[in-house]
Amino acid sequence: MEQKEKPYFSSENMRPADLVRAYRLHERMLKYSHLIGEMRELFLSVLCRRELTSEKAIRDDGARVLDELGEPVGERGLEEVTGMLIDLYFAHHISREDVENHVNLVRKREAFRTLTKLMNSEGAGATRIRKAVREFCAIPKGGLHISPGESMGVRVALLSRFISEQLPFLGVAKNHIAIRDLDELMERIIRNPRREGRIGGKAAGMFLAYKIILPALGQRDPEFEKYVRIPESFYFTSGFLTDFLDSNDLFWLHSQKYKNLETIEEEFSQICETIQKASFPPDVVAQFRDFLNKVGEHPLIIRSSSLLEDNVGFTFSGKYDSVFIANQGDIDLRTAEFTDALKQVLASVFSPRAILYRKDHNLLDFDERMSILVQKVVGMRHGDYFFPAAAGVAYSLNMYAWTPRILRSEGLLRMVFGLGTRAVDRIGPDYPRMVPLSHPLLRPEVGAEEIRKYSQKLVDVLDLESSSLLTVPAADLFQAGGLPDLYYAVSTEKEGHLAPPLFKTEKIDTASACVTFDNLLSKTPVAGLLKRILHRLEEAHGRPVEVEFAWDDGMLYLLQCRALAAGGPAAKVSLPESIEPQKVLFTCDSVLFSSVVKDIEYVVYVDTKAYGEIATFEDRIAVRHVVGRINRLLAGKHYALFGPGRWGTNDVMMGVKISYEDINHTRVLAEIAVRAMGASPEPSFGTHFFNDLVEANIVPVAIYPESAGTVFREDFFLGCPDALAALDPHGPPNPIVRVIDVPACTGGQYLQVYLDSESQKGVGFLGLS
Amino acid sequence: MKAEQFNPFAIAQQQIDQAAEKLELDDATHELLRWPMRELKVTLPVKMDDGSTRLFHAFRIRYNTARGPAKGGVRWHPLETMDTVRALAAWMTWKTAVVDLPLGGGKGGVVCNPKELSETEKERLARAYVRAMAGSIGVTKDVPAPDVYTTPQIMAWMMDEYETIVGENHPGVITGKPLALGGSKGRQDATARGGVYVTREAAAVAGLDLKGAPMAVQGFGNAGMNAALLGEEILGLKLVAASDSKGGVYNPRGISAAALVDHKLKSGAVKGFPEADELTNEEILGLPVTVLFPSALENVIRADNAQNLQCKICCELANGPTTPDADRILDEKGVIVLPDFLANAGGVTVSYFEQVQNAYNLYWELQEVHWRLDKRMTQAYEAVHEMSVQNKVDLREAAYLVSIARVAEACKLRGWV
Repeated sequence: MEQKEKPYFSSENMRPADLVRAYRLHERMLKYSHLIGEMRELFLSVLCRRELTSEKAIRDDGARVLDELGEPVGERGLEEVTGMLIDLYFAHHISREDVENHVNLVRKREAFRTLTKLMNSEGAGATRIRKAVREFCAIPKGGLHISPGESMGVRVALLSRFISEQLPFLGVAKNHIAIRDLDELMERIIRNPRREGRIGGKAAGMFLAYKIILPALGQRDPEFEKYVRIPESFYFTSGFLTDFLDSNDLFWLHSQKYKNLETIEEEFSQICETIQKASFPPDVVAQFRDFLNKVGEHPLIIRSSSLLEDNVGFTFSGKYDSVFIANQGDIDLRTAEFTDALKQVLASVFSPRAILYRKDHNLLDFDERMSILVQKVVGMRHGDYFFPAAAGVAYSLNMYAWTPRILRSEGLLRMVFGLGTRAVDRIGPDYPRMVPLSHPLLRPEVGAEEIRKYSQKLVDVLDLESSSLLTVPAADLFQAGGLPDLYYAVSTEKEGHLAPPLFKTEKIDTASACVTFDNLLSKTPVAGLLKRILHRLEEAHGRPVEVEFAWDDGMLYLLQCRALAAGGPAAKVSLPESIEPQKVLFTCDSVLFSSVVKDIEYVVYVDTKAYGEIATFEDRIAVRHVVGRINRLLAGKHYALFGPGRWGTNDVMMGVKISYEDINHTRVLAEIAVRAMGASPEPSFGTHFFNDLVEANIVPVAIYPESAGTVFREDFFLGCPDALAALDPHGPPNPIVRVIDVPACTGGQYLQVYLDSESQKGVGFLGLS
Repeated sequence: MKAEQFNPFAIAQQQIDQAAEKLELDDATHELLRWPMRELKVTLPVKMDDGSTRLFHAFRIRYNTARGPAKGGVRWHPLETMDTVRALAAWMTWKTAVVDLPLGGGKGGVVCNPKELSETEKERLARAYVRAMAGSIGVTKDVPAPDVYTTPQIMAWMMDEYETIVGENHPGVITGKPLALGGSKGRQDATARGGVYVTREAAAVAGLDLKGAPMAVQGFGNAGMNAALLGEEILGLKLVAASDSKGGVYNPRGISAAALVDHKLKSGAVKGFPEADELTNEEILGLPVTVLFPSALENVIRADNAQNLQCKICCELANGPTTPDADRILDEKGVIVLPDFLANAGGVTVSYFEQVQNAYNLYWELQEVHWRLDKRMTQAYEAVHEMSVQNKVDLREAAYLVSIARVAEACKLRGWV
């Protein structure tokens, strides 16, 4: 301590270089002369904290200097000299880089004060805020930051002003998105000249995910840094839709959502037509043209990013449209194509499925505004086609575990060759590669024939010539040649056995190629990266997530991230032990979620055998209409729906083609898998349809009546009197669909369903309420 | 028959009993043929990827080696039992004998679920199996091959492990290896090709003209697709229908086999093939065709549908497609049933060729494989047909008589009985 009190000006520690340093620092400080006082205050606090001096010692030194100068030791003179000494001491003890960091910290604090003031003042325009953010971010990032605690208020204010006001979103985003990130984002926000707006949920979800994976401040994972990207993205705020509706006198569309569903359905095609005929104001079209000129001729995807969409708990999966455009050729053509695509996406706000979804989730009164996320499509041109080497959806919680070895918590991929659209939607007899991330190469099929059967045979591509999304047979694409990534994507048949190419230059027998991604999964970091990404995102969101991704040219692109409604497997459910055997209506050995659904009053039963025997496509589709009608009639009742094969499939041979609005009131959706229907190992999980079920708290049940030990009382379901006519006296009779009034048939008992995902056991039985 | 009472080995023994009676075998020979001559049961500890160790139970059975070293596949199946392996080892003995290969019969099995094993775990399991069996397999003792859920890659690991143990090059210890490690050309379509050759012989004997005659393939997998292609190419048959698990297609005017194979590989199913009507797996059996190839599953031709069959020749490429009751009905209807262990013996014959080429360290061109296979299958059919005429029995029973007589003869010559 004694040493510190010693006068600084002694011959041992005084160097001419210190004078140079002090002079340079002073010159630097003079650039921000109004901040000199604040800087010195900071410098002194640093020197004191590091125990290099104390306030008293420095004042004593100042007095000595004045004494040497023969000047009176007045308060003013002392303050001036002490200030100079602080600069000198600071320049002597602190590295040049650190000096710069401290100067910048003071500058940042000032810019931050301006920003805070602006955010707290009523009616500050976006341009002014944008300018203030710009100024803040123009100061070099350096090694010293305003503490998260200090900056939180402004972060939240900025996030809710430009991205989303949703509280669950803000709760996560405020911890991961720094002001600098927002600056990066704002660079890419395209604003309407008349109307303000935010960038919406999908854009927000993607950006947030990116920042959780690669934070602007703090530790970055070197592997993520090397491989993970987001596609070049542009955000058109919700102001464009509002402005479009205003300028075409279409504001009445906002009340469309309050009409009844039948009217909404009837009027929708008319609305689409009206929107397509309407036009954007000329200045906006000019803005689009400028944008397209800047982007160049690269294929784009126009995605909805509504303010409600993709917010925590509500995925809106597949409710709004996304449109691919080739964006090739003449700028007039490109502009026209772009505006048509925008209109199509905007129109989907008024679609019956979107409105119904909102109604079911009590979101109808929210003033839904659509913003648009425009992304460069990830991929490469191969002939006339454009697509990525691999794409798909990744889930942090794996529900597709065919052996207990697979760890559900390590996630699952549904991966396809080409555009990821094929992995997102449920696509009949075509299969994405399902990858359990705890054991990426494990698959439930063994043998070439079985693997081939459950593999991808069709590829979604963007045809740049016709500017449309095409589905082409994988075999045709492979045989056309010129696809460098086949080494990673396929296995070929070698003497009756499927094996991936052994080395990159191996000539691939395209005639026998089958998409397996074996080399992609074993020879690139993609599986490991996605596993860690999912883990980190789930941790940040505090709930399971799903991520759309694409892999191309050795880079992993995050296209979208949603936090799922399911809070993971529920607490263990104990199945009741002493159920009288004659009361058991079904058992199952494959359970996705633990849950208990009590007191089911009605069962709607689609006769599995009779459905299998329906000869015509039309008759199968008719079943959908009957089920949909009953669903509406049973709104508010506890009912369960039982039917053959896979619900929601697009292939009526595989199960009942149905969509969410036809089943949204059921509590339990049971799939009866029979071999005659081509029972497949892939459950509904991982499709938009499945997400709908989870969010709506509809419990999926898979029953395999043909497997040993399974109870399935078809006699009960077919034997009870049919209550359809009583329920729907005016509806058309249908021999395939039956309605069972459970208490009426069983002397006041109800169907009780218990499912335990831990033991993979489930049971449905009759019991009193 | 209830599932829990079903014992494949008991059935195999019944078949021997029937043949022994017809051949009037002495009791000792009969009894000898009813039992495997050597059984080995081992427990294999295998390190899993997560560091844990799992135990696997495995078997290898040499049923009878009077005619030569045992030959037979290694099955990896979760429900594998000693009795299944015994029965299959017995059938391998008759199969090698019916095509007159200088080999005996054997089979192996590992109780495991390949759906739960990673590639590295499969490799460790394959190597562990060979380490446990190294003393009893070898080119002069017992030669394993691929079977249910085992692949050429697994054979390659097994061969490598064996060669490491003995410190010598012994490619012939395993057949069904990848071509690059001493596999034989022509293995890919060997089963279907053998079936097509015996069909040709049967038609010639029966005086049937196959040129342009209709054929149907039930089960359009590897064997079925090759049967369609080779039936067209070698026999001049016209494919009119084919089916798989998702249904079938039919066009009486003919379907190009190559186009249908292409369609199946692209779409995963024969269904949806243009210019053909749809039909079910059941309907395909009743079509008016000259040759029917049941190529997929067991028990598809049963007492309840055998009456519907209109084919002249039924070439069983699948194992056990016809039940015994249906066999009798088909016999009465005059349908020529080419029994499975003769009709699908092309596979084991080419495996034998692989052993021969490995021993010579000299490899044949594809044409030579085809030519030798043709000769073997033709001779086999001739012997079986002759036996059937002599004893007035159907071809299936005749095939049993031929093979069991050959094995019995070898046992006697050795002085065992």
